[in-house]
Amino acid sequence: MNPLLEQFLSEARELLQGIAEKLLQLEKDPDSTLTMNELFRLVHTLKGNSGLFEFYDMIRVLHAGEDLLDAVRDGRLNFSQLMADRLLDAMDFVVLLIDEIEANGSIGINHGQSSVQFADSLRQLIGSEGGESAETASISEDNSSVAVKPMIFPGFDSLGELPEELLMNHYRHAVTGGHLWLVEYTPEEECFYKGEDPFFQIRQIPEAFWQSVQSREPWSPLIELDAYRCNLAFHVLTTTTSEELLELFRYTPEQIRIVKVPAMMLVLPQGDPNGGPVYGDFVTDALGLLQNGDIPALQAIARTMLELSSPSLWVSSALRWLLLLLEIEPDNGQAHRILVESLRTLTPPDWLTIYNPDDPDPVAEQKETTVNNAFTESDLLAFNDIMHAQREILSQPDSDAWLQGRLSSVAATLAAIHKSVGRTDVLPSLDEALTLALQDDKAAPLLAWLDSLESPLEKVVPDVHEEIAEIELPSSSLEPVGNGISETDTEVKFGRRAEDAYTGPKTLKVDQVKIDRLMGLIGEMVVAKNSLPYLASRAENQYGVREIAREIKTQYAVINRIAEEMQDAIMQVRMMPVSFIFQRFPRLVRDISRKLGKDVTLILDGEDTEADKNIVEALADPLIHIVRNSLDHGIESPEVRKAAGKPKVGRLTIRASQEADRVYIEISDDGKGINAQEIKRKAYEKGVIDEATMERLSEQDSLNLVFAAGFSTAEVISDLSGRGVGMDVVRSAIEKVNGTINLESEVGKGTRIRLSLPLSMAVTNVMIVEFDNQIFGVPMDMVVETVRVPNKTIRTIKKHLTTVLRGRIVPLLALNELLGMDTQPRANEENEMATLVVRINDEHVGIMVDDFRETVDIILKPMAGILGGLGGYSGSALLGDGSVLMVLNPKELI
Amino acid sequence: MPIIYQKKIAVLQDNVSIEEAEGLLEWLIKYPKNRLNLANCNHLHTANLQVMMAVKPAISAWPKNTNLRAWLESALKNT
Repeated sequence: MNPLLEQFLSEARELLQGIAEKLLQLEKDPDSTLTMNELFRLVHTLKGNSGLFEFYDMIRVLHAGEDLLDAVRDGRLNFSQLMADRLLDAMDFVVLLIDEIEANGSIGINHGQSSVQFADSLRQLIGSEGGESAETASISEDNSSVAVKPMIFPGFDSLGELPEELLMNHYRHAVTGGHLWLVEYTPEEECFYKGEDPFFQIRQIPEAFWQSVQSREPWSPLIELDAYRCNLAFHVLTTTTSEELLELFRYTPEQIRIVKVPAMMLVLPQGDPNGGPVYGDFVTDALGLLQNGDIPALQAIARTMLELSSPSLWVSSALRWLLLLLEIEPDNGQAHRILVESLRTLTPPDWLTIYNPDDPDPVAEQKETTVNNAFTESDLLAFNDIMHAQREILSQPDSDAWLQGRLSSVAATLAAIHKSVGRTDVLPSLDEALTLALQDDKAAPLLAWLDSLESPLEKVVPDVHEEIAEIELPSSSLEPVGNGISETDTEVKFGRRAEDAYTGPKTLKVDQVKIDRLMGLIGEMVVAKNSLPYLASRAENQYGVREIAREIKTQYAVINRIAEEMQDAIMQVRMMPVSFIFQRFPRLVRDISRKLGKDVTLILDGEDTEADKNIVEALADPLIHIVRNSLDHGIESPEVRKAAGKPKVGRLTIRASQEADRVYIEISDDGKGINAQEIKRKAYEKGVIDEATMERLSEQDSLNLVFAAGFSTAEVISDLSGRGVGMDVVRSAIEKVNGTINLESEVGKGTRIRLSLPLSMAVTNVMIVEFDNQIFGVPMDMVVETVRVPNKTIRTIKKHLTTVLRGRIVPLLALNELLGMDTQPRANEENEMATLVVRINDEHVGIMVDDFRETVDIILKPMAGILGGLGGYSGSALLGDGSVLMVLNPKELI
Repeated sequence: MPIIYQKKIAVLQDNVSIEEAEGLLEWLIKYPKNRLNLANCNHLHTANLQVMMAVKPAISAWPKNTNLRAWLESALKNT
């Protein structure tokens, strides 16, 4: 999974969480414009984010949600409970999609239909104003009309023209658990302009055995006919899987409707209608036999009849169907009766009556067979499980804010499972219990209702078949496909609620303050740990118990190891890859180079190098500055480059790497480089250096002048660089995080800037020096060496103390001068001065102190308050023995 | 050439693209009695299909492609 997607997922979860919160807030206070605006913003952001990826199903729902909220925001609609419900349901659906993306990297194909349903249910609320909903709303219409429609689809009668054998095969297939789908495809009028070919699309449906295409509106006179305005509606009967259909039409789910067709629709006798009503007796006999349920006898007389009739007759076809029905669905008495009746009248069987709600028997029977198949032992177990789970949910304390939602959802679940086993009789009492519970904000009424049900398992089973007959099933006999969602009163329940098991995201977003606190705590731990050696030495020296001292030291080693690992772990938490700042460079380089009319390729390397968050963040601005400078001053225009014999395209490389506990970032270009002489001259002109310095400066030192404040080489101030604030700002920013910057350049070849930064700023290694009975810390990374300089080798040059160390003149400074103290540094017995040699801007300076002590790892706390203004100290730290160590900042001191 | 217009018959071949729809419509309006030969046609774009459905020209040869033929038969017989 790519990082962008990961980020999207974690953000999406956050946004969804926010949306849910705001919705709940709005339920309590529907008039709050502030909350409303916030909610709108969240939904809008989420929609925008998902637009980055091609998650159409998600965008569709979110877009509808956004439109709805927009209407509310503009005062066109009032926020309602229903609206909140639908929005929450829709957001649950989005969460489901997010889960799926997280698990599989993409959204499954079977959500298209649900997505459309959710979007529609939201758009419905916008109502008359949102005219767009009209075209797709048909899907969520009352389903009972859908059930009848297939039969009156224009051209449906042509189904009877298919070979009887084919129909019988499909019928057999459909009854024995196969699928039989009617696909209705109504392409958009404008679809040709979108490059669609609906006819091609519909021909791709596999296993289609009947098809029809009709004009939606009567054709206009030929002369006015617009060939490029689609006026067709396609219908196909297929036995393929619904997944395949949804996959095929995944881009236009709102234009198709897939309905399950009862197998009975295929029972269409065909043939020569002549033959006379000689079958009157047979019909009477057959009806009698049916009444008595004597199937074998009926089969026998039907066979005899069939033998007596010519096979091409319509009657024979009907008889063959009857035999097939008797064989496959021996229990479907109503169907048999209808077929037999149609033999009397010699008209096609009118299956419509079977789906007429006034006469529910046949459907019920038909459904019964499926219930028979489906209602197994494991279903009963599941039923009881669900009941049990609801009871558990209800027995939770009544105190939280979601109680209302929880109660509704429990009631919905209970209603659904009872419906599914046919116990509709209990539903009214359930409704009452729910109303009561919601009124009182208590789960008790629902619990009481549950208790009032006699042990559900045994009672339910025998009831199933009888009860089922009472359900009006026409609506569900033709179920729209779509992830098994069945619609009741146009409300889409997704079966996913706050109570459901929640798969948490794998990454945590933690407030940085918390990490900092952890960091501070571990710092204290380190300090506390450091006191153990003191304790050990006291035990040994003061009390003379060596064993205890040794044991303390062993314990110290253990605690030390754990503390170090802990520190490391916390450090890891704060680490982030430099790609965080690198990722903006491709765009930046592209934009700037285009503006400057230069051709530049950017090479990024080592993006996954990690450093402390603060360091990485502190790097961002300086790096941008450096890159801009390189592009503006470094890399030449293509013509100049060509003339200089270089490739036309300039190269800018940004490389990050890690060595020991430092991170190096190198920015190099192959541009014209920096002319040291010119820099020197410029610096002189601007008054940055005086004439004497100008004479004296080495090449490298001149280059370093670019870091001086107020220096700029550009003749013209552009909007990119040349304002004289630049490299000095870069340097101070880098130095702020204890980093160093180093510039190398060769005229005509290019420039290289190397940044060296600590991996982390959390722990500082300092050397402790003693002076005037006080101790001071000096950061180790500045210390070059510690030497004891004999007094006789110290000379005074121009009133400054100096000495020669390893063939190099090193100025010496006494710490008391730097700190404004009176005491002079003391020499030891051999008359040597303890001198700490530190490196400041590549120059060595000796600082004379009284004595050296050990080096320690400390957590450096910057000075706060009034002390914060003291530049000479970089901070303070607590030592193991409880004393405070002031850490010097030699750079500022000298 | 997916459509070859002969004197009385237009021969539709292979895959008849959307660009042909307008031409086909004009030709059928101009010569209402002319017929279409679809024997070697494998697919025609929806636009062509609806032109044929609107005009209902006589078909001199049905497509050999059985699936296409089934579709065209259902399209041109009804309505």
